[in-house]
Amino acid sequence: MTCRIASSHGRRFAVAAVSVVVLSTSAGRAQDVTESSLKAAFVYNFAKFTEWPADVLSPTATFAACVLGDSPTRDALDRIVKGRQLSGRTISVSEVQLGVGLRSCHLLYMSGVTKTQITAIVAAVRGVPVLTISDTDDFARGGGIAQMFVENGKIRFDINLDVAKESRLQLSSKLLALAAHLRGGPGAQGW
Amino acid sequence: MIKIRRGRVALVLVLLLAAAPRAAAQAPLPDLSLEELMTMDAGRVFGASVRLQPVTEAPASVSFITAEEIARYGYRTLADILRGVRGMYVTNDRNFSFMGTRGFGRPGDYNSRILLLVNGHRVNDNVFGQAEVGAEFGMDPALFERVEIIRGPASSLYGDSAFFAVVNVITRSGASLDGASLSVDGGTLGTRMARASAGRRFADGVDVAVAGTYEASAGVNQLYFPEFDTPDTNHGIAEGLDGERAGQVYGQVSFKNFTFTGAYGRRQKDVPTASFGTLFNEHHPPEQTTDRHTLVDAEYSRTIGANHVTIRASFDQFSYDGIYPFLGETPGVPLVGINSVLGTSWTAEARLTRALPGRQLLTAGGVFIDNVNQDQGLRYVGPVGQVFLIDHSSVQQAVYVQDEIKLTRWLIANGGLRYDAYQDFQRVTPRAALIAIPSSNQSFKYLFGQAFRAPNQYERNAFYFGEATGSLRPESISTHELVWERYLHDWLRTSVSAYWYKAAGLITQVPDPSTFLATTYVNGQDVVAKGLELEAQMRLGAGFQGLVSYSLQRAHDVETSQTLVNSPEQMMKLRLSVPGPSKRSFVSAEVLAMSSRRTLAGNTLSPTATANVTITAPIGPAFMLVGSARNLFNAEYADPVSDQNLQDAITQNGRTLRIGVTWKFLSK
Repeated sequence: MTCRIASSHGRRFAVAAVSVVVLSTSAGRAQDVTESSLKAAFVYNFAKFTEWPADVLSPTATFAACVLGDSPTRDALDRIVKGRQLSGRTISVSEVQLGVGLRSCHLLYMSGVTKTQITAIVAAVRGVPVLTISDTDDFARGGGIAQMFVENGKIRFDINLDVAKESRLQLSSKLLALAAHLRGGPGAQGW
Repeated sequence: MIKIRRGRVALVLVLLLAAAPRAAAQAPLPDLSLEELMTMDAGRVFGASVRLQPVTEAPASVSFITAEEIARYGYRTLADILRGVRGMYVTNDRNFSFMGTRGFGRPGDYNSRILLLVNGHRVNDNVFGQAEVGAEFGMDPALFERVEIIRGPASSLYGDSAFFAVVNVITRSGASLDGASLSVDGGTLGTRMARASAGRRFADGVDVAVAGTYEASAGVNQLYFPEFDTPDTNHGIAEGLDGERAGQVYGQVSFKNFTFTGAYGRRQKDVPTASFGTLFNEHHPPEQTTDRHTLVDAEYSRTIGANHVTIRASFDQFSYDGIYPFLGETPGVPLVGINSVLGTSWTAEARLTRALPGRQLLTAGGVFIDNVNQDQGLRYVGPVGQVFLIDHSSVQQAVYVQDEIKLTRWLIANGGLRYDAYQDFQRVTPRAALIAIPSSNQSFKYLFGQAFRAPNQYERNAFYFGEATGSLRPESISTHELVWERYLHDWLRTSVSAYWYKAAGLITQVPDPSTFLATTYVNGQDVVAKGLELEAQMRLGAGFQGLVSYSLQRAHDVETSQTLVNSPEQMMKLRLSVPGPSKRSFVSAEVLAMSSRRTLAGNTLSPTATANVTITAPIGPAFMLVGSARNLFNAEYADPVSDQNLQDAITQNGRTLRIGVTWKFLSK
């Protein structure tokens, strides 16, 4: 088959269209990361936007990030923290078992565990400065601090500020502003 | 001449690739802001296992297209979306769009080997079994949240039609629409479109979405068909007979555990090709088809303890009217045939997903379908006469079970089985998968599956094709597939997939002088195919994203060893979206290339490459300007068509342009 030569107008349009690469801020991503990498990045960000009381996390202490029941996210978190620090502190990531030394974690991410187990864990660390994070339904409502969920393919999160305060954790206003739902504090909504 | 065209396509490729390194180096995930992380897709798929799961764990090779991509690439039909998907191609006979995949795109088949779902509910009609993917689909892509493409057989979950692939369209909620919008656009070929949509999730959790779209196009004003080039038939020129008009309404309400979805779409197409032996360039009346789809769907979905329960009831209605002007006895007065089809069905479905000891996840369900109408008729007007009328109805039911076992931390076994009972036959179809996930960013899958496609009511139409088609049996397929998916540095995904399938007893049209249409259907053809598909998807800094895929497929007839008709051996697709000159604007381009295809008459069509470009640019906070050019370089190419046409191949549209504006208001 033959082909007509496109008008010079069309060609100019094409060249202009494809060669213009001006940098600006971005939006919208597609299928190029795994859910566990993305969750690990959220977990890291939650830690970045939280302040622990000095008595449990001195400026020179190692930050203890604990993962329960989700080894892919543990692996992803391991990769993320490599060569990174949290306010000058090195980060250690460890996989923990139910009921063992959870109170010595600064951050505890749990996934793939039953609601009964979650209730027990949340009760065990109640009042202790442990930033609890999970992707289990009703986690924040049931006494956890940060709950991730997927909506329209993207990760959203809820924050229970009452529990955070009780645990003497200071969450940044930025984190609170981005939460889908917030329990406690000014501007609490949707519970 | 063709060299020039290829050269130009290569130029676009080079320019786009050259642009890549100019984008800033990709920031690692943890260096992205929370806002940016919140725009990233978590990569979950529903349709592979009738529950949300990570793509890496799904027992299939999966692609999905998001609302963001639909907007950026200016996709106006489901067919536009599917054209850009690895291993898929769409042919068009200026009446319907037909989807080909895995080297199989037999002209004259009504897309009945692809299962089309809307929010997980089957929408292939119950007469032709057709998955309508052009404007005839009846829903506007602007209302798609995402489209999941699940490759390979899935009859173990869905039964009939889940033969080569499942396409699941997930529609947008009120929260996703977030506010009201008005869009208008216009373009070449007399195209104009208007859309209004509104949606919100209220504080009490009630979510409401409503939308309506009207679109019309005059089409190509003069189409030349050399097969009709005689003085009696306007020298082969069909004038003003390529018009299309489509109207769609959509609504969804959800609260607590209930979701109600309703949609109605109507598409009318003038047919310029004089198919089915109709009069060429006839305007009184023109050959014309009208397709209508109605969907009303109510779903109750709830987690009770360790169980997730879904109960669903749906009403589907499909109707089709074809107007066919034939040569009449009085000169100048055509004999007009009107073909009417009505397909109505009620579906009730229940499903339970439950975690079991030993890290198992069990899904079990049952479906009952009452096909109230599967009616077909043909009548003539001028003079009036009913040629035939078939009032048919049937019921079918099925039960299925699927179990996923996490054998170790890195190994998943997945098995499924479904029993389908029709009035004339039963079918049991299995699927099995072994998925190894040695690290969080890599997975290997071995997939085995079978599927069937039941003879549809059109093929069983005794008036058209004789009584013998009443004894047609379901056709079947067995597929083996290996998939390797890899996620590198949190910005690059690569996928390699190799498959082999054998399809047996394919329902095939053969000549039969004794029937009304002089053809009939038999369980005739066996096809063996193997293929390799490669894909890389990347996200660089500054909003730059791209996807490149290559597929190689060899599908041949077992008896003749010939490559199938309309089966390109190679396809390459490139999609790139880069930030445009102004803030939040994007320039998105795709190049779709396909190797040569054989036609029914044994001719070979040249390789084709087409390019599409869309620019989206916000004007202030409330307006968005969209400009699109399809087939930018005006490449001339044709698609193979069925023997319903005198033509062996039908030339496709050259360059078309559209420009439009969307006004968004009342957003939170």
